[in-house]
Amino acid sequence: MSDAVDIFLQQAAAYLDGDLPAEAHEALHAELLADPEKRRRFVDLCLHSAVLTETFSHPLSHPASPMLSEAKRRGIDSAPRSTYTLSRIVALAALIALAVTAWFVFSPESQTATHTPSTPVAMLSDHSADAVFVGADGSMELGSELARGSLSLISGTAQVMFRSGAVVDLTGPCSLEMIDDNRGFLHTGTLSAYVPDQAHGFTVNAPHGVRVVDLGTRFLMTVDPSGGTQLIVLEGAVHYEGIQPAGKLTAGSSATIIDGSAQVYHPQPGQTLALPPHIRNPLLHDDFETAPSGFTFRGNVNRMTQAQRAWQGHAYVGFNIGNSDVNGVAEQTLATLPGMTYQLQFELGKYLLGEGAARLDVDVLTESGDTTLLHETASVVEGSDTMPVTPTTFTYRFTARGLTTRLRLTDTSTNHASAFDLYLDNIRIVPVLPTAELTPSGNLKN
Amino acid sequence: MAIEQDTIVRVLVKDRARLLAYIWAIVSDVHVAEDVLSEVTVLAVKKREQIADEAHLAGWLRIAARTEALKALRTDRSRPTPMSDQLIDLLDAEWATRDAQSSNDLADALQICMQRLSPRARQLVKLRYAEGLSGAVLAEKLNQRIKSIYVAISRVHRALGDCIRAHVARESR
Repeated sequence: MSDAVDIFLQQAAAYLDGDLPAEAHEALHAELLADPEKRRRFVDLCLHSAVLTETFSHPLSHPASPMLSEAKRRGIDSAPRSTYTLSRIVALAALIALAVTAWFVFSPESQTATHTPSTPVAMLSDHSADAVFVGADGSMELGSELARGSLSLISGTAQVMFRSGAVVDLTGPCSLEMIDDNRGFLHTGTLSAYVPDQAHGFTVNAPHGVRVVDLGTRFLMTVDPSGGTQLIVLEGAVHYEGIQPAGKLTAGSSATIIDGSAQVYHPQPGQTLALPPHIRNPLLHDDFETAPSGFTFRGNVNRMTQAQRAWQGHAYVGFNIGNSDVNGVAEQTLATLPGMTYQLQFELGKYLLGEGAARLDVDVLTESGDTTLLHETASVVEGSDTMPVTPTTFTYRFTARGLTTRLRLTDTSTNHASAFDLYLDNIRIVPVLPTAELTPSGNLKN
Repeated sequence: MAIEQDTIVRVLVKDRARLLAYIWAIVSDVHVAEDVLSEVTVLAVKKREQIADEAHLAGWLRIAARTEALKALRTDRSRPTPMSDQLIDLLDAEWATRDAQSSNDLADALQICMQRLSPRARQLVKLRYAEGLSGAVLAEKLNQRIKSIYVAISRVHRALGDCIRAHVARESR
């Protein structure tokens, strides 16, 4: 194989990234015109790049909510191109949402059709690479039509789109029975439902006669092995029925339904989200005052107890202490609710005045580590040689896709002269409504 | 007789990677490609009366994708000169040779071939496609020259392409 092929592929890869200078485009086009082998390689490159992008990302995202669509239209999507961006989630979600909208609009009979047992009532619209199904009739490939019956997901994640347009994300282990094109039965496990307006009335049954009727919204629902149901409404409203008394939950409210009665939690003044007490809130709050920390430390990072350097209490986490290698990693695995949005907040300080930025890469990953839910770099340029340093607060947001989520903090400081330290303190993760405003610092609303 | 809407949705979900690739080749920006793909999705459902069946849909989607991709380029004057019709026609002939292979089979072959890459190459693929880092951003992140990154990416793709061709040839025997 010649070097010419390598050079061509380099140019073509840069072309697909938008990194090829404009003046080089025509030269690339000329090569493609002249050489069938290069056209074959180019089509391979495009195809493989697209399949890899789809395979790795597996967004399992909810179809675009009005909020997301509006944010994109207004250009609020400010996430850097380099990350798994909101725009990508929106684009893929829109593919399904728009199709379903049109499907519904142009096919009014789709709601009223009667179904035989073999009539498809839903479609498998996405699944993770590690998804394992049991008891499924027929193919479980992307786009497979699903007839009435049970779908058991042992592990991984899957997305099912009902013919009504309702979309549910399932996280294994989970068992969902599809009853008709706008109704399911969650026997056990967790689902996250997005119900566009046209699927108004989408119903999820649960053990002991519980029914959750959606009024055009987004909600999380869990059925535990004993048959208890937990419900969290993220947008819009739902009715819960089949118990006395029945009731209505609006965005930010939650309920646990056990033994025929519901315990309801409504947001208090100043709150946007009220969760049952057994759900960890905050999910994580570590000021490092008490050892051991829940984090696993690797490389040049440690919990430090030098009160004069801490801006709060007496302890903090120090990266690159002693001016050795910049290689510290702090990692922690957290028990999350799939579909729940979380706000991550922490404080960083740069001690001493050395040139360069004190930088911390923030990665939030699915349990397998295959999918990045958040990738950001927190950077502090201005240092201080007086103690304690003035901290800077960083705030990010991610949406969990599984029952466990990995948080990884990596020191990537441009600290060539080893002339400063990076301090971390007061790290906190709280569940929030996806529509809640990002709180830049200070008191959290939830 | 018009195609069923659910057939359109099923085909679009199943083959979205292939259609995304086709559009991406023309617009040279994956984000623009995803926007165009959304437009094509809406069009397909709106115009379903013009589409007879699943076989017709495949060709219809490609024509719509080509039209919408070129329209997207025309509306952004900062974009470089688009491909000529002659070049797109030639590439269409190449795309047509891939129609028989299902997206799922290709994804399976890619997964198998990924396992044959070196750990470093797999890491590069992961950064490039899982995290969506472009070559320029990768170069900055890894503190390498951009040319070195594209050399590595091109080698990975060449290895993957050769492996997939061999895999498909074995499977078709």
